[in-house]
Amino acid sequence: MPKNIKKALLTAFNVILFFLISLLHYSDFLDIKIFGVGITLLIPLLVAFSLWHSPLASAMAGVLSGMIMDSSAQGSYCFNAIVLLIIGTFVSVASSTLFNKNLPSAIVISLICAVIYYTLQWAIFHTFSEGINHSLAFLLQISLPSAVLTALFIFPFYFLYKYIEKLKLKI
Amino acid sequence: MRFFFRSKQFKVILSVLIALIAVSVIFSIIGSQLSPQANIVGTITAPFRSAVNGIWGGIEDFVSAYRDGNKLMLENAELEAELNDLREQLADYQQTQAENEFYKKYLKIAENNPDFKFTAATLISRDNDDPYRSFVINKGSLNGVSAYDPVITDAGLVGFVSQVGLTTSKVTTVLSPELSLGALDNRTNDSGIISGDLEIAKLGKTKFHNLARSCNVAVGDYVITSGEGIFPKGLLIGKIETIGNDKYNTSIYATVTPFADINELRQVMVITEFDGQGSVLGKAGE
Repeated sequence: MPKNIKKALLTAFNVILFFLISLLHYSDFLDIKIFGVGITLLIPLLVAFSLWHSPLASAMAGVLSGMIMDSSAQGSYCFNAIVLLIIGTFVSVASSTLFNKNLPSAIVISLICAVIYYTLQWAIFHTFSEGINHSLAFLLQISLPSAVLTALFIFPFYFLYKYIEKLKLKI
Repeated sequence: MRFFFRSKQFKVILSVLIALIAVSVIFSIIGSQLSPQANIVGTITAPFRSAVNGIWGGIEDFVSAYRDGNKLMLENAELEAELNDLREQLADYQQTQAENEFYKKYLKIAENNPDFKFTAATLISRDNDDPYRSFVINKGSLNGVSAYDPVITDAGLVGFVSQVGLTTSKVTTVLSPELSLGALDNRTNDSGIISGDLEIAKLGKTKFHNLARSCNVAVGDYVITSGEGIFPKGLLIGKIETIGNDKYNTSIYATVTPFADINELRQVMVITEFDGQGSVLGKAGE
């Protein structure tokens, strides 16, 4: 198979994966809840993708999937697009300058990104609307546990993109 | 890293970021309108979301039929290949029948409220991050839906349209603290405010608060809209489950289970017109 076609197939795979995960996040398909705490699969997916892609590709993956999320998320104008753009860029730049591309680094980055995402979401959408007591309860009972749980889902995506990188080297 | 900040990539990313922040600020100020990119992406992805929701609905129906002990389906499994064509016809018929039932139930509401104008809508996605179960419907401003239109099912009030796009709209439910609506106890006429609460939203309940200490509300009473605000008078909201004193002992509150099953919604009706609509918003804008 020619190199170009293989590259195109990999790009198509990435596009479909991001599209599906962004789309399914707002369906009952991916309503994964553990002890009532939800997850955002797109964050570990974006982190794993950005570890091995350029800042621009990572930022665009973040923006486009964020836009799909924004079209369904409550009260959100461009929140997901902006935060995922920043996460994609940060991970891509950090993975080539500050971190190694290994599993422990991926877990740490994933946790940092998930905490940033959920804390910002809480700060922007829930701090004032819930009242101070409920606002703190929301942060401690929903936002932070969601961030930790979300970060744990880095494992499948990390190994998936590591495998894809190996495939790329063979190409 | 220094090289990255001087690179062309960084400039492109920064431009996109600034554009997104600008759009975000502008549309936050305007409020109740979907941003252009959410409109475009929402319109493009709406059929996919409908399809995903339809498939999931089918799976859920199948699983619940199986779980409820519908053994007939399993016993007939051997005949399924031969019956495929018939099943397809049956599925179409059942869908039509379900739609007819759906419209028939609304006919009663429409007969009782001749001033109401409805638009039927299907739920196409749900914000699973939102503990108040907000969702997106497949109707927007092109279908006559406007911001703050009430959303109901034949069982009762669901919420209101909080953001409207061209072909999709976001709905905030009665479980949310963002919604604050005047309500009455149907039996005693005691008035209060229905507004969501994080703790009880998890249980699919909302709060009827600011009730006078001398009120006569009781467990089992029905709560209806009072007609103050963006909702017409007399829409069923839910049933009182528990009654308690507020934190400072100055008023009474009740927890209310909405009649509309917010977690299992598939089809809803948007009330696009009713007598007195917009009077409060108009006054607020003056």
